[in-house]
Formats: sequence, C-alpha cells, structure tokens
Amino acid sequence: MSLVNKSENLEAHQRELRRGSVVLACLLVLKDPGYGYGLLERLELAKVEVDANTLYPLLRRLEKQGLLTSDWDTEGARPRKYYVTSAEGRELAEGLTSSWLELTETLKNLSKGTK
Amino acid sequence: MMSDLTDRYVSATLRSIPEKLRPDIEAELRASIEDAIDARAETGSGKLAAEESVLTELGDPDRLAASYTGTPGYLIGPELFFDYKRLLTVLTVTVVPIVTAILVILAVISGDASVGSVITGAIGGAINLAVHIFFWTTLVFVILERTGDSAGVVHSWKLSDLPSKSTVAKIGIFDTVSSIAFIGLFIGVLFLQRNASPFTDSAGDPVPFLNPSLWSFWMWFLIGVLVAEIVFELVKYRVGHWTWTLASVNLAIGVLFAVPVLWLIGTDMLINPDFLSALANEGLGNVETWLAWSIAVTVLIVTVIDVGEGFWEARKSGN
Repeated sequence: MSLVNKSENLEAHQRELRRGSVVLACLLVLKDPGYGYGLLERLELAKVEVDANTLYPLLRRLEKQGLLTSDWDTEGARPRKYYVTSAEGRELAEGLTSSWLELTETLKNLSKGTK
Repeated sequence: MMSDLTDRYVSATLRSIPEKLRPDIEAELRASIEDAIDARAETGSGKLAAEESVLTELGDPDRLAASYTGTPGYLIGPELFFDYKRLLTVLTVTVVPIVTAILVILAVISGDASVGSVITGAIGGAINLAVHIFFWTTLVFVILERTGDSAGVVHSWKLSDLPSKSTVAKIGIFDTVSSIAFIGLFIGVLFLQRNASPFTDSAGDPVPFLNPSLWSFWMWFLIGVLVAEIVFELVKYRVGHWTWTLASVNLAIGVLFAVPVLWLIGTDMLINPDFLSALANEGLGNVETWLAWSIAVTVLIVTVIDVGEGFWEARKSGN
C-alpha cells in the first residue's frame, strides 16, 4: 500500500470511529446553551471534528428526539436559535459516556494483551 | 455588501424542504452562514471570498436539505435490499418464461405469424416484461423505503430459511448418461424416420413422417440444438449441481427447441403432407389435428417441466 493510500485509509477509519462520538459531544457541550455556528466553533476548539452540514441537521434531529430543547433569541444583532441539552439528553449523555469509557477500558486492555 | 450567493444557496436548500419547516430552517441556516462569513472575514480574507468558501464547505444544497428532512440518499437501503433482490429474481425467472411461452403458443396457434415475427415478438415481449417487473418492483420498494412501512414486508430471517444441503440434487452420472442416451436416440429417430415408415409411395420408397423439405434448414437447426443439449448435459455434470447460469442456459436451449417446433406445427410444416394423405387413404384423415396437437402439447409440457426443474433446483442449491 502506498503512503497516500495508507493515510487515506487511516482517515477513513478515524472518521468511522468518530462518527458515533459527535452526538455525545453535542449533548455534553450543550449543557451550556449554544447556537449553530457558536457550537461549531466550540466543538472545533474541543478538537471534535464535525462539518457544518452535518452538525446543523443533527441539532434539529436531536431536538426532535427530545434530547435538546431550543429557544429563539431575537434580541441580538441577528436572530439565533439556542439549543440546550434537556434532562433526557443529560441522562442519555451519562449513559453514553459510561459506555464510551468502558469501551476505552476494553480497548486499553486489548492493546495491552497483544503487546 | 453581500452577494446574492447566500440567498440563492438558502432558497436552493429550502426548495425540497416541507413548507412548514421552512421559516425556522431558513432563519437558522441564514444566521449560521452569516456567522461563519463574519468569522472568516475577520481573519483577513475578503467578504466575498469568505462567503464563497463557507457555502462551498456547506456543499450540495440538495444533500443538506435531505439531511435536514432525513430523506435517504438512496433508492433502496440495506434494510430492504435483499428482499428486493430476492423478489426481483423470483418474479423474473418465473413470470417472464411462463408469459413468454404462453404468448409464443398463442402466436403459433393463431398460425398467421412468420417464424421471424414469432421469435422477435417473443424476445421483445420477454424484454418488455422484464423491464416492467423491474420497474414496478423497484417502485414499490422505493415507496416502502420512504414511507417506512416495511414491517410487514421485510422478511425476518430464520434458520429454517437455510437451503437444506440434502435436498440439493447432486447431478449423478446416471442422470447424465441417460439424458444423453435419450437425446442421441431422438436424433437417431429423426434420421431413421426418413427410411422407416409404415407407408410407401408409388415408387415404393418410404413416406417419412416429418416433412422432407425441413432438411433444407430446420431439421439441421433442431439437431444442432439437440447437440447443444448434449454438451449442456456434460457441462452440468462437470459443475455437479444446478446453478442460475445453468438454468438460464437450459431455458435458452429449451426455447430454441420448442419455439421452432411449435411454429412448424402451427404452420402445418412439421408433418409430411404425403404422410397425412397416406393416413387419410387408410381412413384416418381426422387424426391430423389430433396428431399436431399432441406433439405441440408434449413439446410444451416437456420444455416447461425441464426449464422449471432447472430454476427450481438452482434456487434450492442457492447459487
């Protein structure tokens, strides 16, 4: 496999790994209310890689599922829709976090075992 | 000053979003785009350049809209695909040959179609039918995919659905040898009937049962098909069991044999007219139609059973 292919392959697998983490990251970050672009920046700062065109529709889906609630703020320079994690969302985030940590532990053990 | 790019982008996105969701999505999307442009413009690039790069990153508006509404970006998803494929296969391999055979028989019986028009009609009809089956089956599954009402359709797999290995007929040497012997015998009879007949003409030569004029082409064609059938039996023995490919080839050979024979019967060209008049001289003139019909029906039944067996066994062996 060429070097380029190798890094492309790595990226593809990394994307696959991260895919499931975006929902959890949103639920965690949005414990403090946030709006579309602001959230994108916060996630970027936190090194969560997500594209704008994935994030915006995702927020609406999570809202529809009752995991986020939203409120329009029309006071500022431009109207913004603020999202915040609901009680249900917090509960789910807790569950997901512990699954994630378990998984990390499992993988740690596995990689130790193979060394 | 902003260009009209954002306006055009937003309206292209909203186009395929249900009316009642539009105002909310529009306001939010606009704000997000403007926020992003502002942030990017601050870093020094011009406003227009910022707008262009932000919109480019958001990508295809149709894709974004589908993501907002949750519309799948495919016609039939993995949930339904295998049921779709199975149904399509079953419909195609059963309905197409059966309907085509019926159409051919009707055309042949009506008698006023030439062999060319019967064959082209059959091929055209089969293709037409296959296209229809493909289209309508696909349409139904596309609708199921979108209405999400697939619970009653999706076949939840059970262990009992496994093709049972023991019922997969292994093609044995006995079957192969007897089939080839039968075909060989049949070819022999075609040649022998030229010299062996219950009737003789005025010169004392035997009156063959089959029309002698067929030896200019059709007889050789049919013998060629029979030889192909022998080769097919050998190949089938080599493979060891029925497959979809073998079943399809078997279908083709069956059609190549049955269609010309049925057409020849339908146009009164198969049986030697001299043989029929000799029969009439014996007071058996009325067996003519009966004879033609019984040959036609026999050929048809044998072909349908033979072709059907191929697909049935191929389905059982699962490949």
